[in-house]
Amino acid sequence: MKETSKIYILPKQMELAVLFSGLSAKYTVQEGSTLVSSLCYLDTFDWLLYDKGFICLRQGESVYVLTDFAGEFRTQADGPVLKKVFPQDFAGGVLGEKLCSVAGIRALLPQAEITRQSQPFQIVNRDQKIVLSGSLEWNQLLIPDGDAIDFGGSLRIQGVRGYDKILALVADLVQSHGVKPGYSEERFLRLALAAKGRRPLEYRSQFSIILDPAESVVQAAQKIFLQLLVGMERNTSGIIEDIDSEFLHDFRVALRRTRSLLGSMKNRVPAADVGRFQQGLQKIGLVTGPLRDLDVYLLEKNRYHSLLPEGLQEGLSVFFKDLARQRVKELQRLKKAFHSKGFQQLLTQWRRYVEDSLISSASAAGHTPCKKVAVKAIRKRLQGIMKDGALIGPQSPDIDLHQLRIQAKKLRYLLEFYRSLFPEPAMDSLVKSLKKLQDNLGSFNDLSVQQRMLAQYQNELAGGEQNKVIQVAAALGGLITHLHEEQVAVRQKFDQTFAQFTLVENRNLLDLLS
Amino acid sequence: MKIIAIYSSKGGVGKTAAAVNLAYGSSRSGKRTLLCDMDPQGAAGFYYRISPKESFNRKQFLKGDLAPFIRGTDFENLDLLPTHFSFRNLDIALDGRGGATNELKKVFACVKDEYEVLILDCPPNMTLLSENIIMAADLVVTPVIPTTLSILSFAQLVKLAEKLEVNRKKLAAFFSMVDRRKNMHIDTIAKFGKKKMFLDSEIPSLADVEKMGLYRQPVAVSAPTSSAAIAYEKLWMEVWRKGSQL
Repeated sequence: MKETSKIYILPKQMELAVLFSGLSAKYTVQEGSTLVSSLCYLDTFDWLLYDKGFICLRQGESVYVLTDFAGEFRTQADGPVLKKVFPQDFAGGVLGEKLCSVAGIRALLPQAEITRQSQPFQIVNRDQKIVLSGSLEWNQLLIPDGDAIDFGGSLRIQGVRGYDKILALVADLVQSHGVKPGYSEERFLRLALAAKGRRPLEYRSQFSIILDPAESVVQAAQKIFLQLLVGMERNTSGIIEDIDSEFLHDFRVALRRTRSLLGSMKNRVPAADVGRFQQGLQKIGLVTGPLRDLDVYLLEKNRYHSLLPEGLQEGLSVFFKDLARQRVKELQRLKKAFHSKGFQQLLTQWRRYVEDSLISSASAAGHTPCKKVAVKAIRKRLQGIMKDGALIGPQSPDIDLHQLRIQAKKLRYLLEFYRSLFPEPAMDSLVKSLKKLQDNLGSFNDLSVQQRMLAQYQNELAGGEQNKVIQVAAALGGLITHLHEEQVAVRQKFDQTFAQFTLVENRNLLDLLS
Repeated sequence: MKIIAIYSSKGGVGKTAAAVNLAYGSSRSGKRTLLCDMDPQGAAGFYYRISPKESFNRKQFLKGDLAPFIRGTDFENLDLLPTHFSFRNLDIALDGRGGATNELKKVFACVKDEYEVLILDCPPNMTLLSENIIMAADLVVTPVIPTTLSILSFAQLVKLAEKLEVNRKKLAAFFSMVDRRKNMHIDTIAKFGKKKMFLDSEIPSLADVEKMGLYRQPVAVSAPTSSAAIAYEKLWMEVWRKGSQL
């Protein structure tokens, strides 16, 4: 397919008459009326779209545009008139599908706004046939005192199939007026954010830290703890405002990482400090757990429905309605806990401790170079997994897999913390194969937890209409059967997945920990 | 891709007006539509203000090399393949290829992934080209003026379809240029309108349709609220319903 649209950067405001002066008399430029619209850039809290090179914007109330940085991919669709939009709110189409694949279950939030003035135009031939169309755009940021900051503009031209000559003609013409090809949507977004003292990717879910191999393990821990703490703090308001399920998820991941690292600091900092904060952080884990569990089931809603036949759907709907009701209560409880003095104090004290006392109170062991500690810890954990994993056979109880899963998770945290200390290719392949093992163990565990929860719910079903109770019990029974079958399949894949893991690991281990 | 041929062996029955307005209706319903002007008079292209590229001719067409010659109309989802003067001898050229009746189907295979609907504006004759059109189309829609001669040419089409052993369901007729002030029109519609092959929609004889030559646009664009625009919209919906069932 030939390129049929072109975009140019307009450094200054220009009239169409000037841009197209010198166009052959065979053609006439027809100007449409100028539109002024407010434009809102949307992205997830953790900038998933921007990270993958996409920009989503809402024009007016309900026109959504998704484009890549180069402007080569651009799609537009009508969407919901909502303050908070989810990728799932778009009924299919290229835009909806792309949003779902990149942003997943995260809400798209307004990040920045600008004002765009667009002047549409078309060029017609002697038959009054449209042979090219386009628009001239000018972007401004309106500031509170009534002034505006100019961000520059774009000229967009769209060819018509079978009329290539005029497209080439116009392209030459505008370039002869000093206008250069280029696409600036990403720049406008950056400028609009900068005006608010912000920048894209200012928060990311992915944990990433650069450590110096020579710095002490407590110095490294300080950096890691602080980054994790910022992660928790930044996700708190999203949890309270209930924007999407991933705020709580990310909060809990940062919390678990913190607890895991703190647990490994026992002989490096005073045991009393470790104990005190472990206790406090564990409490937060307990307070946030039930809401996350409910979220996990609610996120599975569509999948669960797809597993059951028509006759069992009604019962499942009743079950999910009940979960949604429980979630409302749990959220209230969580909000109360987050607003409590104890919670606020714990985070403040934790920050103060990490910033002021962690290093100064460290024992001699705490001053060991972090690389040395990392090598030892990773090697030990890896050897443990290989040994325990090799002992798991078809008859092993579920608990063995559960324990292996926890070991694998701890190894994953270690690799994430200390990633920067090792050569990247070896680390990448280690993490990749570990992830595969974790996926297998994680699915096995999730399926077992889900079956247990559903069975428990089934047992507690009582009261209410007899019919409804039977309907729900039947639906849950059907679901448990499905989940059990899935779990058996996942279990069967364990041997192969683990064999694969040890194969790659044996090779990597030598390179990495030498 | 559904191929819908607007065909009649008789001239002046409203084929091109139907093809132009049905193609517009199809594109408005969101379907990627190609209107192929097979009539060397080039009226469909004229209505959409599109002339063929200089390098285009019958030879290119029969090779199935259509993509470079398709041109965009002023409307979303609607492209047009203009005709060429050399199309007047299309049937001779087809005959030269051994007289097969499935040549045209092969020609259109190259656009089947790009469009959901292909509408053919056919020339008024009954030749090897007509046979190819009937074989290639999923639905053959024929405008019938409620007069004896027009009914006769419809009967000929049915006969031709029988000879080609195509499913009768593939044929659909609608009354065109209907003037309800004329007894003959009323009587003919009463007599034949109930036949299975006739669609319910009819296109009245209206000034807005005639004015298409003046405005060079589909009636739904030049006169969006006119009865002509409404009649074609209804006709499109009925044609699509029938076409999509086949």
